[in-house]
Amino acid sequence: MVYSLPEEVLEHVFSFITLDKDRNAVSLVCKSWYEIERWCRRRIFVGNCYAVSPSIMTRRFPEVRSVELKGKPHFADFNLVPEGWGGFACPWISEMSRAYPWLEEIRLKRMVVTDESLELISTSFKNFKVLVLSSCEGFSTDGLAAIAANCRNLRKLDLRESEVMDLSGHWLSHFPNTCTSLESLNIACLGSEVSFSALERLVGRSPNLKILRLNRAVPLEKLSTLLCRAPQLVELGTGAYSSGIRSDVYSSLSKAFLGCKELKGLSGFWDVDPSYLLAFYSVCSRLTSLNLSYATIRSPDITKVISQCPNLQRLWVLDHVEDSGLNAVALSCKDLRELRVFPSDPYIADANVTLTEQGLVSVSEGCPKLQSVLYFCRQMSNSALITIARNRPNLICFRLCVIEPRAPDYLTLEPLDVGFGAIVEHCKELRRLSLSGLLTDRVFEYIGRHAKRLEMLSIAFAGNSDLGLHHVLSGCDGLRKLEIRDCPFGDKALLANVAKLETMRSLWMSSCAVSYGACKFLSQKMPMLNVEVIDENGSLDSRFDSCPVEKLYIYRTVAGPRSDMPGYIRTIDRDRVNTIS
Amino acid sequence: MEGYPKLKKVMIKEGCEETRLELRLCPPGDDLYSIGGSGTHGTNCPPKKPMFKTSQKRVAAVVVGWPPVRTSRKNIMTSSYNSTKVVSLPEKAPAADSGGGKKTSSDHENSLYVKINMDGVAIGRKVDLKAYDNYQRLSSSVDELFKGLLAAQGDVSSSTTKTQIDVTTGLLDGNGGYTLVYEDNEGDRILVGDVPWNMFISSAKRLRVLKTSELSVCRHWNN
Repeated sequence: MVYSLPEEVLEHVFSFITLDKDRNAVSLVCKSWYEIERWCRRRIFVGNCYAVSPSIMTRRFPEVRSVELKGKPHFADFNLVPEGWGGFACPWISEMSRAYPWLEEIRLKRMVVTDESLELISTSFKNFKVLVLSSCEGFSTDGLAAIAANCRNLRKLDLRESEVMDLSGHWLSHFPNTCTSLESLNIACLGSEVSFSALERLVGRSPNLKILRLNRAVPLEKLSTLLCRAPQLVELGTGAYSSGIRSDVYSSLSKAFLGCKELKGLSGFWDVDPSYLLAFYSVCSRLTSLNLSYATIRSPDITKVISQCPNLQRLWVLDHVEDSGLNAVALSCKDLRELRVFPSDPYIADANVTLTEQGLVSVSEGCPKLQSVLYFCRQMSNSALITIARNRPNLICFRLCVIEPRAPDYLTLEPLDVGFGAIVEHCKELRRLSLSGLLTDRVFEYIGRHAKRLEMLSIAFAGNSDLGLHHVLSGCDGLRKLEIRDCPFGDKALLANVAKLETMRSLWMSSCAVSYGACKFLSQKMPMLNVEVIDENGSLDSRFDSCPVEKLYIYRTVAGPRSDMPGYIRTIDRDRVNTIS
Repeated sequence: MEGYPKLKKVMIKEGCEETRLELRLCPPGDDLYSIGGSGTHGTNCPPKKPMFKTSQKRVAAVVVGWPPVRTSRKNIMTSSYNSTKVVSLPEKAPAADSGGGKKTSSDHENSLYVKINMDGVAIGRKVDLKAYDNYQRLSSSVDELFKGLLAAQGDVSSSTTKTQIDVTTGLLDGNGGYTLVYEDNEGDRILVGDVPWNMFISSAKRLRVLKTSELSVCRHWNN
């Protein structure tokens, strides 16, 4: 006898299961669970838009309300992925407009989005609520105007670091007077000025607005007007934070900040005039998130602000904070979870800023909850890394960038192998790691041995031989994303770990020593992988097997080779490989 | 350039029909090494510690995508309206000998050059606002700057010869023939002298020496 719960009951139970991982597990139990689950899955996350096709998604999951897609590889952020590579949102949006009339949320990262697609979104989904375009490009303010005009129930419009063709600031005026549903608006990446009166009215009629990130063009003297209209704000991104001489601006600004009793996060701060920093002192004690990474204020001023923020959980700052500022963080911010220190002047050899490894060591000592670090500096030592590792075994994300490629331990002139080795050995839950400095194959040995939970690894200018890559591919059981540039890794490690590649989302290798022949072999052997060779010098057709490829992107997929590649990219075609050789 | 990571031509010998030259970023002092050859375990020859020159030369990014910062973070220092690092709040005790033009050691790389034009003088000058720490010194400097220019122009136009001697005194108090004004980041013209010096430096984008008689017109524009 087969006992089974009625479908409705199972569906109700499944509604409590939200993590993709768990949903996937549920769907594997048996055929009926698979069926029930697929009808009630509401959120989809596709980490690589080429791993699956839009129609596969809509066929399996007919009742989706929220879709998140990622396109280009991470190294696209640093201009390593050439123009026209791909990541086009259009086919996805077309398919979803056909299949998901009740879609509410679209989140895209590193994708190319057109105005036509934005218009289609705005007219296809009657209940559309959330649009997040993170590091996207290809659209203009005209597309935004369509979203503003047509999405009656829009709650969130977040343009996080996208590149928008800024035709005019008028798009904001397209929000109808009846639109009162806005909860989150992030236009920080826009260059041109939006109509302030339209913005003021929009803010004024949005009682649920919690997050507002303005762009640089919103002048400081207008900020207090907006704050007075939205005292319920939880997160604020200012515009330019200087205003010449006006003491009336200062006083109205501090009064406005005083009125924002819910404010927990601040960002923006372009062009900071330190005399205006005191204006937000009243909110400092409540702040959990502070992003000063565009603020060129110097050490005494930064330190003063930071010391007022005992509840800070996230701090993003320029290297102007210096070791002294980070000492203040270690003393005052006992709740700190995430620290990011960006370089103020990345291309100067000596930045005349006293930010060394000491700053990070202090924070690792003083902040017991620190889990996530991104740190750009100009010197590092193994002893500092070992100290950090011992202080903070709870680190989950450790991204260190010593600015000069292959810089050794500045004290001993040795490679930083042992230091990073300590990090992976002590921090057992480490999920993300970025390496820098002088590194030999030894560091990869440590990583392969210890970093069992590692999911994402970034390597640059490191290693001696294929053995390094082999350690990583054979040792890191949880590895999902691997990105490598300028390392002497060739064919051997790849070909010895072919099966591993199917367990990962993607592998990027540029300026390494992988040969064209190896790519062909890999492609032949692994039908579930797309092996894409990028060569902007245009000599893909006349490649000798032994010649190294410029850039290589390998990812698992159920959608077969993609058809939207520009001429300088080839998926090694398995059929052609057979006929050529 | 000594002391900076250099682009080196690296010979790549492989099973290829040809050897290819590739440009790689190497630390200074590094020897040529070949990539793709039989891997040697152990360390590379460790490069000598790079001795960087103290003078800060701007090094163009020779390696694509390194260091790994997004485009929006690349030019924070040059693209900010305050084109150099802003001075901190004036709470330090003034140094014992604050002669004209004294700079603190942490500011030595700071300079804030702004254009300064004078009515009736075709060619402008540039002044480094950070070279002064009060309005008086700025005013005297401006006086010095334009005296020479006016004198030179005076040779051409006889009507100004009489006025050139003390034409630039009284720049700050409105009593002289000329008055010093500045333009802020919104393009508004404001009389120099109204605000604390540090606030002035952080907001002044250019200076102008205007004929005092023209000032009422100027005020009209601002309102």
